[in-house]
Amino acid sequence: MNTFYFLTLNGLTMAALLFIMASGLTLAFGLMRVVNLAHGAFYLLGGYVGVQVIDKTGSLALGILTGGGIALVGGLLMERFLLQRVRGLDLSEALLTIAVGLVIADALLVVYGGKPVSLPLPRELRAPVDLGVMMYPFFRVLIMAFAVMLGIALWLVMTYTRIGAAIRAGVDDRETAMAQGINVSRLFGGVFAVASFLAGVAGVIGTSYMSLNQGLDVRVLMLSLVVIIIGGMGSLKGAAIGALITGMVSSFATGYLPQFALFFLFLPMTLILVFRPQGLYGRAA
Amino acid sequence: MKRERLLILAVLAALVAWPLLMGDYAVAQANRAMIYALAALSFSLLAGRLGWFSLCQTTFAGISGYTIAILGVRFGLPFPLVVMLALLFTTLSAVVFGLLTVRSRQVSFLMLTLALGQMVWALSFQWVDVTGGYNGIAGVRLPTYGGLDLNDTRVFYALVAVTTLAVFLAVWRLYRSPFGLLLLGIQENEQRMRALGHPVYLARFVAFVLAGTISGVAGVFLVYDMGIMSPSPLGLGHAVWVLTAAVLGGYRSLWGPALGVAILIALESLVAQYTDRHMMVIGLVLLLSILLMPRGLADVLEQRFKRKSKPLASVTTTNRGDES
Repeated sequence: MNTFYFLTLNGLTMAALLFIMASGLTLAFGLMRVVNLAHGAFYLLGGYVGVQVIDKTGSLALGILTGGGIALVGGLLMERFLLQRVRGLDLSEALLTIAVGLVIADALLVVYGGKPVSLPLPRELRAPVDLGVMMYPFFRVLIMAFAVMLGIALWLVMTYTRIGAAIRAGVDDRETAMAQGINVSRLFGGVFAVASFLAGVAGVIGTSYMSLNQGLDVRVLMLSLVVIIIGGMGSLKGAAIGALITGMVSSFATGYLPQFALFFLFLPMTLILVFRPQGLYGRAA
Repeated sequence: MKRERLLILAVLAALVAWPLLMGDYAVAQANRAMIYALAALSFSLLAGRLGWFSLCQTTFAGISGYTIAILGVRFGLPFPLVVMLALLFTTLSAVVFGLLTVRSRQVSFLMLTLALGQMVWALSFQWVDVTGGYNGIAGVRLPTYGGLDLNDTRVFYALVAVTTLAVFLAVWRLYRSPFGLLLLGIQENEQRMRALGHPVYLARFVAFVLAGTISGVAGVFLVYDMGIMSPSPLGLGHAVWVLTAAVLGGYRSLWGPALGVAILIALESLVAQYTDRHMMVIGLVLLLSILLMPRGLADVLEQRFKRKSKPLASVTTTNRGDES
C-alpha cells in the first residue's frame, strides 16, 4: 500500500510540474496558433541559471525569480525579434522556435557542461513531512500547492478580469476580437512572456524532482506537448486534466513497468487522438 | 528544356565519377549524403506537397534500421528477407501513424509527429531487452556475394546511388502525376478539392505512407552504413537536421532536399575543424534559412535560371517541378 501512496504522490508532483510548464504554453497556442518548441530549452535555461543563483546567494526565492526572469527575457526577445518577422506563417514561427531551442540548449551545454545538476535545497525544505498516509518531502508538497495556487490564480484572471476576457475572446475568435479593438498581438506578447516565465520557474523547482542534464529540454517539451494535446490546445482546464493524467501514468508506469515508462506516457495521448482529436476540452477547428 | 537535360547529365556524370576519382573518406561522405537525401526527400514530399512538416520521418528510418538490426543480428535472418521485412514493418508503422495524424493540420501535425517520434525514441531507449538500449545493436553487416563484399565503401556506394536515383525518379513521376497535383491542390484549398469530390483524407494518408516507406529505404542503408543501430538516429536532433536540410535546399522542389543535405554535410565537416558545436550550427542555419529564404536555395536558383519565362503567380505552383 505504501508504494501505491508513494507513486500517487509522485504522480501528483509530476502533474503539478507539468501544469506549471504547460499552462502558459497552451494559452499562447490558443491565442496565436503558435507553439513554442523552444519551451523545453527555456525550462533548461531557467533551471541552470536559477540553480547557479541559489548556489551563489543561498536564496531559493531569488533563484526561482531569476530563473523565471531569464526565461521571460529570452521569450520576449524571441517574440519581438524573430517571431514577429514571420507573423502569420504558423509553420515558420514553429520552425524558428525549434531553431532557437537548439541554439539555447547547445549554448547551455557549453556553459554548464554535461554533468547533471540538482537543486541545493535547505534541510527544512528537503525533510519529509507527515501527510497522514505517509511521509513525503516537504518541497514536493510545496510544488503541488504552488501548482494549485497557480491554477486558481490563472482561472481567476481568465474569468474575472478584462485581460482574461480579452484572452478568452482571442482564443475563441481572433479576428472578431481584433475587430472589437482588442490588441491581440500585444496580448499574445504578454501571454508568451508569462508562458516563458513559467517555463523558467518550472526549470528551477522541477530540478528538485528531475536533475538538469543534456536532453532534458526535449523531454520537457515532449511532455508539455503531450499534456496540451490531451487537454486540448488553448484550454486551461484541459492543461490541468492533461497534466494529471500524464503525471499519474508517468509515475505508475515508472513504478511498475520501467522499461515502457516513456512509451506508456503516449498511450493516453494516442487514445484521445483516435477518439477525440481536438483534445478533451479543445474545440474542433 | 535543354539546359535541364544538360544538368541531369552532369549530375549523373558526377555520380559515376565520384567513387572513381575521390578517396575513401569522400566516398563514405557521399554515401551518408545520399542516405540523408532520401530522408530529406521523404520529409519534402509531405512538406512541399501538403504543407505537412513532419518530425517523425527519421523515426521511420530508425524503425527500419532496428528491424534489420534485430532480425538480422539477433535472429540471423538472411539479407534480402530482412530488408523486405524492414520495409514492410516501416510501412505498417506509417499506416498506424498516418491514421493518427491524417486529420491534423500544419502546426498540430508538427506537434503530433514530434510526440509520436519521441515515443518511438523512448521505446528504443528503454526497451533494452529488444533494442539493446543506449548501446544499441552492433555488427549489422551486408553479405558477400561471390567475392563481392557489399560492405566495401565503393560497392555500397553503387547500391545507394542506384537506389537513390530510382527513388528520386519515382518521386519525380509522382509529382507530375494527377495524384501529385491533387496533393498540391489539397495544400492550396482543401475545401475546394473536397467539393470536387476528391478523397482528401485518403490522398493525404497515401502520401504519408509513401513518405514513410521512402524513409524506410533510407533506414536500410543507414543501418548498414553505420554497422550499428542505436537510439540516436531517432532523436529529435536527427529529425531537425533533416528538416533543416530540406528547408535550406528547398522542400518544394525535387532536388532541393538533396542540395540541402549536400550543403549541410559539407558545412558540418568544414565547421568540425573549428568547433564541435554542430547542433548550434544547424540551429543557426535553420534560423537564417527561414528568415532569409523561406522557399529554399532551389527556389532562388530556379528563379534565376527561369527569369526569362513568365513570372509565377501562386505560391504553391512556383515549384511544381519542371514540367514547362
